[in-house]
Amino acid sequence: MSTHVLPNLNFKYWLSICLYFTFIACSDNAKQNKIITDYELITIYFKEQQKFQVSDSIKTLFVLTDYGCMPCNKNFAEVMVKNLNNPSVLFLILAAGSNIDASEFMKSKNKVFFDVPENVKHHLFENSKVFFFKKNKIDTTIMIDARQIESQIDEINRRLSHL
Amino acid sequence: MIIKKKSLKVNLSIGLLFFILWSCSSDENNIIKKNSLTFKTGFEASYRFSGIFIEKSNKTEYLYFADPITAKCLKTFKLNGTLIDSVPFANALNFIGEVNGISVISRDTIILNSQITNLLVLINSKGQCIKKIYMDSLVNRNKKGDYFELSSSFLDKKTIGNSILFRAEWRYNHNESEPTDVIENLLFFNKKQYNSPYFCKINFNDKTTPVMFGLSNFYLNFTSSSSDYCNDVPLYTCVNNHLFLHTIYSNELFVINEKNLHIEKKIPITSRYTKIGATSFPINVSNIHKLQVIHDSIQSTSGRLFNFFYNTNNNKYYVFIYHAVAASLEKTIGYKKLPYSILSMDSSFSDFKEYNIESNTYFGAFSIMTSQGLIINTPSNNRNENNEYTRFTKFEF
Repeated sequence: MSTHVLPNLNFKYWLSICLYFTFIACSDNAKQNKIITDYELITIYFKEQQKFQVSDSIKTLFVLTDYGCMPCNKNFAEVMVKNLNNPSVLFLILAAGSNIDASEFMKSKNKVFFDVPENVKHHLFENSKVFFFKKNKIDTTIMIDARQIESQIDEINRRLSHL
Repeated sequence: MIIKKKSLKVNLSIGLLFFILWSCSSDENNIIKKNSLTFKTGFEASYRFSGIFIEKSNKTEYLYFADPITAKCLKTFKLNGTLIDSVPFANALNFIGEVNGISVISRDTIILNSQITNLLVLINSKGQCIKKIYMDSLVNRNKKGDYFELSSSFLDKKTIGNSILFRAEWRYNHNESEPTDVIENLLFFNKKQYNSPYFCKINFNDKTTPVMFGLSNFYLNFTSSSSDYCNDVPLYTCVNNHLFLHTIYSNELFVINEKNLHIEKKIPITSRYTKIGATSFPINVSNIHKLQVIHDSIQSTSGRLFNFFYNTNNNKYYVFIYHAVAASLEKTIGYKKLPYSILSMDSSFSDFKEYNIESNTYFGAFSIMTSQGLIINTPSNNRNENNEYTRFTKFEF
């Protein structure tokens, strides 16, 4: 019975094995360290949770929650309803229908998605807000705020008119 | 000898450990989860618009669930899940606009009151309007010129005898001019609200004095100054022929004499899990523009009393205690999973026992006391499921 378990290998062989494993480790590390942008987080959410691929044609995402100022959320929902037929706009409804009238969103056949806040694994959809996208990046985010609601709605309408 | 001393110490330590564990243990082991109940509501039911009533004609207990916002209807069920009535709100909403509160007295006596505008409509099980009432003509027809806005409790059981109760909020006085300075104006408004009645009781059958206001200076029971900002959702309920009221600013449960609307008794509630009651804050120059933000933060982080029930089977009261939490928790886990416990007490408000509940599974705010015991909502993480079914688990203590 032979006592040599490992073959008698030369230096070059061992060096190549070491280099190979170093390369694998580095590439794996690089994958882990890759910074995921907020835009990517949004596309990943829609792909995984809603089975929907956010394409370049989507320029705006409305997120409706029932967190914070409720009259503001209701005003915001009215702006959303007015844009239901806009093909470049995506809608995510996280607010409960028992808090905000969701009947128009439920009727719509367009890009309207529903979920509960607990299923969202990041912080981007915690408040009612609108994202404007440009070249696969978030260009502007407007988070609905009681103190600025009127000017915010004006700004949203202005931007939507330029889409 | 040394060994004996050591063993004595070990025994004492073990004994002490057992004592600590025993004294720290909650009464949660005494809870028995019974069967689950499912109601095919066809909409996401909300605790604000749900409850229970007994139909006098057949002495049957019915549960009701309403969605006046999206589905715009109310559904009545037997406890076994059989649908009895589906009541459309279209006619009622044409009159009152937005719904603030719902009281169901019987299948054909459903009362809806409006948001802000002081309107009330009585509908039957077909959704037909039986009576439309402009409450302003009753409530705000006073010589003093005070105008009150009426709103309903977030809890079920807002009627007692022939009367319906509202939270009365002073808004303005026709005959008085208000300060133009922002802080002065807010302090003026706050002081007026402090000194004005908290409750309004209306008995539509009483032709001579249908309206009674009461409980002025209520906030001064737990704040020291009328410059403190107090703003809370109304939480009162009429159970066991008594009117109970509580607020986020106090750990006391107020028993109100429904005949004169005076405080009859204050029951301090303590929890082994949380501090109960938020501290009010004074309005000043530095916080004038962020009162709502501070208020929202208090609402979402403070320990507070919520649902209150009486079980006629064992003559015990049950109060739900929501625990103080970090500001971020509601956003992280959602409001339906916030931690809470249930405190039981006997009919003389003693013999307290506190039960910790799995708040991840059971949504405490949405609970109903039935003749068969307490039922607590078990929401799903699947929105379609919640839009179709409303599920509960029955608990025994």
